[in-house]
Amino acid sequence: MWTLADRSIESRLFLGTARYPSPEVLQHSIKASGTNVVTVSLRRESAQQNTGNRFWDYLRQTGCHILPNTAGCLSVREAILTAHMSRELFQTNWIKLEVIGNDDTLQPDPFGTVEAARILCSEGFEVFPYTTDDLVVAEKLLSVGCRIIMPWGSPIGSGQGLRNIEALQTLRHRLPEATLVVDAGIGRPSHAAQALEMGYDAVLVNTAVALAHDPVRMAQAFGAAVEAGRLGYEAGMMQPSSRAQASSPTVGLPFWHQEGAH
Amino acid sequence: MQVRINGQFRSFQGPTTIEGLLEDLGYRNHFVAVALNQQCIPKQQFQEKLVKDQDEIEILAPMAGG
Repeated sequence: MWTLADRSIESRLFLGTARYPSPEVLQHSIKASGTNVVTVSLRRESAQQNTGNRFWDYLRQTGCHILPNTAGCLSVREAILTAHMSRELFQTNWIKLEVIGNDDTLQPDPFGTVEAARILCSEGFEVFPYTTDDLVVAEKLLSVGCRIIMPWGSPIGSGQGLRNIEALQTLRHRLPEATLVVDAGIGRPSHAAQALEMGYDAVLVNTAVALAHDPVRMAQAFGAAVEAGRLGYEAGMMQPSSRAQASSPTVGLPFWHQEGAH
Repeated sequence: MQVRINGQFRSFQGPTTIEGLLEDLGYRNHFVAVALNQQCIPKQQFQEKLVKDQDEIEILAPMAGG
């Protein structure tokens, strides 16, 4: 068990709910992953559609904590209004804050993100800000009241994995008290394990599971990967060496390795 | 009166409340959040909050998201 924003949870995998082939596959994937946190967004709905009720019923049945997002918001004002509406609808103060700065790369707007985080934290929200791997931005987010930082590994949905390991390591080393969650760009289970091995507290994965040939098995693979990565981190990993070091003992080598033997 | 709902203008007999408007539009028992002129309106205020001519309303529902 570990503590996320004052709640005890088991899994270190957060799962996004978009792009699955069907709601049933999503439901099975959530279960197979072992996740305790799922993300959800808010969108316009016509009265005839009524898909929101059905989707909400699916999610509620999972028993997971709901992490609403502000995906698609391009300004502080939009993000704050979406956060208010999410809190009203889902009855949670958790909000995954996204203020997008560039429509092509879906890169976060660091200035807007910090400003929105400042306002939302002052209103009692637990803000999970989606940000880059920039240390100064992360420090600003912490200074305005965030306890959780969600840096990208690479652009959203790209599956490129952890593109700037050094920057992500710097965040972990310099911000030991923060809860760090790699948010975007994870494409395969080994990327998730790598983040956890670095001491990251969790990862958020969506597209890598949803677009797998078999999303349910991939969800299970990601669940196992975060567990393996965390165990490795806690066990304490050896430092790499530039020289080979024999793993078999050299004492008691057989006679044909001895000097002068023919 | 003309009210802009999710980006499209619609005509209504005014005055009405948010609850009345949701009923008229067919949103009864829908799990939705409502904003009036970019202010989130708590559900317990739907009955009393009046909607006026040229108001803007957003009606949002849960959707899959990452």
